[in-house]
Amino acid sequence: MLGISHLLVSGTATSLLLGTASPAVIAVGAIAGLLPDIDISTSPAGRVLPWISSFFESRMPHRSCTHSLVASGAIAVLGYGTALFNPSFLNLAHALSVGYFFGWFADIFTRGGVEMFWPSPVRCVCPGNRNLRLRTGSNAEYFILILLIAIALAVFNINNSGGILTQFNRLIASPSGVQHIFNDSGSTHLIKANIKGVRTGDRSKVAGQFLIIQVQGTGFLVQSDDGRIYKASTEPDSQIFLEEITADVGKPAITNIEALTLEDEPIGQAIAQFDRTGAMVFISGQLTVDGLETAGLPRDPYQFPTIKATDTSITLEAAPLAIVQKNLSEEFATGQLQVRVINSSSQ
Amino acid sequence: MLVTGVFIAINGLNPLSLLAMGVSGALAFVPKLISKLSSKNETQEPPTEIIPTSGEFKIYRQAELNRTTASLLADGAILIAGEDGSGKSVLAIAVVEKLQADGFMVAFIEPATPKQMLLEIAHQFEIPTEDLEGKSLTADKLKRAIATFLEENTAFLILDDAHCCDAKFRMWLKQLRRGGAPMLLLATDPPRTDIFINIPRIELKPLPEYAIREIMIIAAAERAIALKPSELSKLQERAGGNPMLAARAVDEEYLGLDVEGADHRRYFDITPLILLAGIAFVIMRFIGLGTGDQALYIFGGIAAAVFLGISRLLYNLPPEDRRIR
Repeated sequence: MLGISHLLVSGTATSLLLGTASPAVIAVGAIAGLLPDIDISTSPAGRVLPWISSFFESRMPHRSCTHSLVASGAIAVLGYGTALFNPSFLNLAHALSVGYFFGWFADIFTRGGVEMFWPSPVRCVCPGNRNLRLRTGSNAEYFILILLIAIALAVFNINNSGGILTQFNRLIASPSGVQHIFNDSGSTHLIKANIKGVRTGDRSKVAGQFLIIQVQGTGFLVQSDDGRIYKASTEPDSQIFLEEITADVGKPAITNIEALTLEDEPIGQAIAQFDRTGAMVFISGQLTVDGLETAGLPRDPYQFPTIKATDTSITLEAAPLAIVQKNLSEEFATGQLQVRVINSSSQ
Repeated sequence: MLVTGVFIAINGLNPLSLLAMGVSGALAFVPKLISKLSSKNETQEPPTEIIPTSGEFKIYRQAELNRTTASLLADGAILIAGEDGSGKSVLAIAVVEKLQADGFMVAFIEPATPKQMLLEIAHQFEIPTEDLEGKSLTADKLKRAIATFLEENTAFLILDDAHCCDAKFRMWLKQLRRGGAPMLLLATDPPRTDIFINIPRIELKPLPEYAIREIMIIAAAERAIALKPSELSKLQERAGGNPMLAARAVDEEYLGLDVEGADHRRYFDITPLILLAGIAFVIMRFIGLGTGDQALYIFGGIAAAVFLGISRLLYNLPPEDRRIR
């Protein structure tokens, strides 16, 4: 197999298995793919380390000891041994192990095969028919090489944009994928959901981008650009019935949850401290009141009911600060609130 | 150790004497360890004795040679089985020369027609092949004459490529063996029937790599070509422990043929092992199912299905033709 084929196979395998697009890690994996051929002095690795190659080539056949599980194990021990003393090398140790393994494993598909189970002299091949195996420098190998380049570019691109499962989640557009992204980046970034679905009220089509506020059941509480809040889910109490949902990681934004205790004091005064510039504030919690003074809380059947109130209690769920201040600021209440503050550089 | 003992007797048991005892103990072990290692090396060291043979082959199978001659000298019969080119004929010639050197009568024959083989045996044993009237003996009479000769004399019958002999001839060999005639049969992949299953056998293992390398170096020297270690290393891939294939690889290099595959029997198709990797995707699917991770579930399922398809494809690939094309 050509050296460039080894480079590509090992580099791609490293990127794929480690889910990385880091050039240093991929380069280590790719170069490790050339190492098994150190058993002959004419190979790139053999030319770089002629003493080692002359030792191997004078004693054993090509593709024997260095193309085996034993050699892979030795390289792994060496790599992880080094990483034990310097943990920053751990990723490079992974790359070395993966790259080395795929370096010799690719030779299984060549006519000569490899002594994979060395010291057993059995030569492992795939497939069994030698005419269907690769000849070094043959047209078939160049064809495979082109395919490998395409695969490598695709893998690097996929890993650069979040990894295979992330891209797959985008492809199938399922809520679990969005939940993954929200779990991964929700505390540090704004997560924008691209939603396709219908309104549960009148079954009119919904397609657009919403900001995810928080997880709600199996779905999400999302906010549209005009500030309206919906529950997007496949549950019956949702306002948007989801057909497809994908997520993009947006601008950096730090999410903090703060607790607020009210002891028969005005809600507006208590929450005023969270009215900060550039912060989106959503309030959740349950409060008790001595007779609700506010009459006629706004009720939009198309929106998620962020405020539910009875004569003696008020229940808030991801209620925007502005709405709470507008409607409940004069109410004296007792209870605990959770305040979700999303601080972004600009909204 | 004795010196340490004296030292302890004089100074008493103190930390210094304990240290001295430890050091002396270690020193006492070193020669034993070295001798053990060297004896191990000696046992592993291949026999370097060169048996002069007519084909000028070095005998790497000294153990098999000794065992075979010992078995024949004990009136036994033995079958040496091995793949083509594994060195059976070289071994047979070495046995013949060893026995002849010891003054024994040996008939060494190769497959031909039954009559020709019988005549050859009779000729080598110096058995008359004509009757008193000058007529050539029939095959049956020759068989009887040879059987009688072997009963009355200490002589050895060595038959190379015995797998090529017809069944009737092999049945006659079986009858001879029943009469106690010592014989050595050499065969490539013999069937598990008649004479082949009746007598003990030695199965020739592939030669070790150092022997193959030596054979290749000698073959290259005979053809007056200078091969670098890297070239020899690449050619050695094609030998697979078979001396004939080792020499053939050098021949192919000498002729400038571009060959990559080989004819040895060490190839092992690991397609099923590779397909085992598909199990990982099935496991992934179940993990996705169990944890409610829809993406993992679908991804694992699709990947497992793709692997299943590839496995069907690989299993349905045409097998290798047994003939040279």
